[in-house]
Amino acid sequence: MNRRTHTPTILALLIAAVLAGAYVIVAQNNAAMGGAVETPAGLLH
Amino acid sequence: MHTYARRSLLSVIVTAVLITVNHLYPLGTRALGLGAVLVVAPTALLWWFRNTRSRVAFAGYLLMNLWIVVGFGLIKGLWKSTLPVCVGTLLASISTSFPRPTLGPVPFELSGILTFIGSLFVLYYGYRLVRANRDAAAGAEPEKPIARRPVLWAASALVAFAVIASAYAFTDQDRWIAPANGVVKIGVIVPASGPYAILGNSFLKAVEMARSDLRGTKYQYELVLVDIGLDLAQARTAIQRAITDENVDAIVGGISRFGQVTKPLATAARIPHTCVCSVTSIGDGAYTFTNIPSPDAEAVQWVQEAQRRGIRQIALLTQDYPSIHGHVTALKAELARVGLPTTYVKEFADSVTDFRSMIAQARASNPDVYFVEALSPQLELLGQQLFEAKIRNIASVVAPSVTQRPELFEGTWYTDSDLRDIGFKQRFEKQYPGTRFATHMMPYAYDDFNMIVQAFERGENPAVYIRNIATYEGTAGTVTKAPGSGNFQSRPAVWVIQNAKPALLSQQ
Repeated sequence: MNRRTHTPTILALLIAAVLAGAYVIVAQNNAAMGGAVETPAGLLH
Repeated sequence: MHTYARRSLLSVIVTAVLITVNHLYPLGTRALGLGAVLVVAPTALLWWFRNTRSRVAFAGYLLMNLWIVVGFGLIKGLWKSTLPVCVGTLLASISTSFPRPTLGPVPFELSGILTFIGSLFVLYYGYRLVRANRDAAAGAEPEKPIARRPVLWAASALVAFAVIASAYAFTDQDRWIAPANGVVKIGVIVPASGPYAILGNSFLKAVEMARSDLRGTKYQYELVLVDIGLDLAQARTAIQRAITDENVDAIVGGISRFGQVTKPLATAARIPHTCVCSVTSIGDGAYTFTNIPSPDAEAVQWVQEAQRRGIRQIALLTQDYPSIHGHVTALKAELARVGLPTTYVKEFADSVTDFRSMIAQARASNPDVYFVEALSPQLELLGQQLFEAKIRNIASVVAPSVTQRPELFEGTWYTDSDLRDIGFKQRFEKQYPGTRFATHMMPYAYDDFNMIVQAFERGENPAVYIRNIATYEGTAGTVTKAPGSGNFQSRPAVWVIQNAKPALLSQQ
């Protein structure tokens, strides 16, 4: 087996892993920071 | 060489697409113009180079590559997306001296990370193209890339990432910096005119009182009043000016719609911003913290009091207004949870002035209590018409404390912020006799100011200090905050209008 033939596969897997991890982190972080912005309450407070 | 030229151009085009997607968020459709430049210019330059071997064309192509790699890949993709997502969130989970990063929507952040990855391909194939061009010029066969010592490559990449991540961590950490000349400047962000003027003015007075109550402090505390007017764009400019020109060290503010404007500016300046805001998403636990009872807490307290009074049926007459709607939604949920039915539910528009048929229908449903909530002047109109209908069993959330005519609501009970130190209100009214004491804001304004003062007096970075607060004993009673949260939680109290004045029921 030639080692170079695996390089694109390894790179693709690494990128996919990074993106999947980042997806989870960003989604959790945004949920913890309040999620969707609500309508400002206005006059009362 | 053609192979590397093709691959180089392909990596440039793919990365340009990713950059375009990433910039759609801040630039909108203008990002398409940026994308067109990033695709067309390198393509044209490479085509020119391949046909003429022009050095100018080749240099231009490489400069475009450099722009993509440094400007978009490293600065935007790596520093502003990849590191905050991967390193910033990790650091924030380890220590409160690191803020939880403010991240954009998932597609925005993922396209930022992909831009960084794409720029590495641009860098690699740009390098291979330069080598191939050099070999072609020397008449030599182009060198074929061979994966040599992959462990060494991986180790080098890891070391490089560790060095960059360390640099990021160093800049990301919030550290204590003693205030210049021993003076701490605290911006007070509230409207001083328009419909918010009463609240804004009394908020400012509460902060002024907190400052005048300070004794024997290490630093001087200077208030910087920021008149934000009514327009949000004007408010943004005024707040930015206070941050950059006045160099405020912290911000205390109130009213959600202005809190939302202040939040990103305080985050960018890395200064703490406390806000007496009911929109909880404004508090991010990094630099912005809200401090006021939530609609849910108001609803729980209201229903407990209703049950204590033996109330079994409720009629709701409320104005269609965001903050009131929030109270009503929370109240309905809590009523449903404990099994208390509503006999009549009416949400009216702010144009309604005649409530008599509404009142008659509500009365026909035989409620034990009429829950009313509205803003002036409709609150007074509704109160007047309820009074004329001889209806006295009225309850509410907050509203009677800000009515212009409290005598219309004599005997009305309602939930509002607690006031553990009733002397605070008495001192306030004595010190500022013409200023209305807004119970649901003033204690929190006072406490927010003191939290910031405590941080400086203890020699701690104020944002980090507030992040670390779990419990605070203030004029509004005990407020608590869960680790990492940007919302201080507090338990409201039951008030009653007595002799045309709000009185705490617990002190009857």
